[in-house]
Amino acid sequence: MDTVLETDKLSKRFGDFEAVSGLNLRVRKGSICAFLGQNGAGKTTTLRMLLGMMRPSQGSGHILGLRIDDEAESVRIRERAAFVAEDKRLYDYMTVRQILRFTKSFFPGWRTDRESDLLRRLDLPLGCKIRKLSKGMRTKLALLLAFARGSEFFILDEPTEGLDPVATEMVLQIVVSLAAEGATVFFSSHQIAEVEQIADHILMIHKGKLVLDSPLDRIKDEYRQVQAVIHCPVQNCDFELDGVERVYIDGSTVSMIVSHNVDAVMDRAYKMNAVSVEVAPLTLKEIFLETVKASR
Amino acid sequence: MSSYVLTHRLAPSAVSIANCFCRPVRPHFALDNAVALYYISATVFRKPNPASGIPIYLQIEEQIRHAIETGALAAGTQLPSIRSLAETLVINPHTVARVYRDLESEGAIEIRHGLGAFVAEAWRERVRTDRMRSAQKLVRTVVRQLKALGLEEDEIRRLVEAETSEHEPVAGRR
Repeated sequence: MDTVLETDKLSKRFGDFEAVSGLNLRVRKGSICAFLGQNGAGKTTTLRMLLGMMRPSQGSGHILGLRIDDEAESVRIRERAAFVAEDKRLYDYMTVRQILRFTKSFFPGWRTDRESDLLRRLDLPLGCKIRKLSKGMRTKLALLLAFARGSEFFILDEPTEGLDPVATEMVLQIVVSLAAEGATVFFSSHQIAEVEQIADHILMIHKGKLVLDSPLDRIKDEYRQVQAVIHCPVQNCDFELDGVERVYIDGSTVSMIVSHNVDAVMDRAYKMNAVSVEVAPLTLKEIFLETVKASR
Repeated sequence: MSSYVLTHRLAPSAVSIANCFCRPVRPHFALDNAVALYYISATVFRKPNPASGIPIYLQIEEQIRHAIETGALAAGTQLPSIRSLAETLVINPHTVARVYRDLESEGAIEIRHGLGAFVAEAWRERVRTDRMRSAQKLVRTVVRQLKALGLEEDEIRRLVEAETSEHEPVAGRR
């Protein structure tokens, strides 16, 4: 099976407020897929529905071929997919050693080799009570407990939040290793730089709706900012072309965000007697900001 | 002109011709030990800049091409496995796979199934031939322009000789 996660018009309503509306997500096997969106865009609500912690108001979805809104199948999803929640909540009264023993007992596929490797690399104090761990340490421990489960699918809600740069790089490296072994990783993050570094696919939501669904390479290859200087009067509708996401006009300067079809856009500019046409690549951060602005 | 950039990418036709002549490659020295491979990946490859507008796969491809051209990666050298290069650079394994696929199709490396990726024997020579050809074109144009200015062939030869001997230490890229 090629798809690990698939949703069909997944929606969640809280009274009048539509937190998630009609999401059609798809995550391919072996992918490192990033789930982006502003605070309150609906990311955590989506993840909670995927993991059976919240019932969708409408629509449904499958993880590893199992229905997310079927109680029995949802239990099997949670057995097979590892999840690290945003709050990284753990049993405070246990020590690191105790929670490792406790967690291990639930998962027959536990990777003892990975456990000891990660313990060493993440430098976790075995005898320390979880209550006494710093926020960063807690995050590292929560990630270790998920990574050592030997799962085929990992759902990580802001995995590197609160980690120092060294620990962040280490976590990213572990994610890369998981993918190299054939596992699939679906993670949310606000750190665009790390997303650009390891992700191969981007799913971006805004106000509960999917606004970007594309392989990262395609975004980098095709998203461009086109700036043209045109002295005759121009209107936005002059650039209503396939691929033009946004047009800003300021005097005789026309600036456009183009998601594909750059050549046709340049042709149009030249046909309108542009005296200069410049094309520059866009970073994911700029695309993120533009997408959020565009649908405001 | 102190330096000029010559295109060194192979034209598609040259690539397809080159692919017909792919020969199996024998590594010059045994690199089956993980330490040596780690050493290669840690020193030859730099971490890409993910925030630049250039896709990571293109950045790594350029690095490897450059390393082959300069001889930093000798013909027959084994490249790190997809997994180990992905882990060293902390980038997506699919990105490394794409880099190796692209470089294989342009003839820079050869992938031997079950053994790994190796720097192709003939690629550097081909790049050099290619570069000489572009240089020849450049020189021809300059000479034609100088003749149009009324210079004799003798004078042009003397000018070229003077330039090359004068700049030898600087332009001494052999």
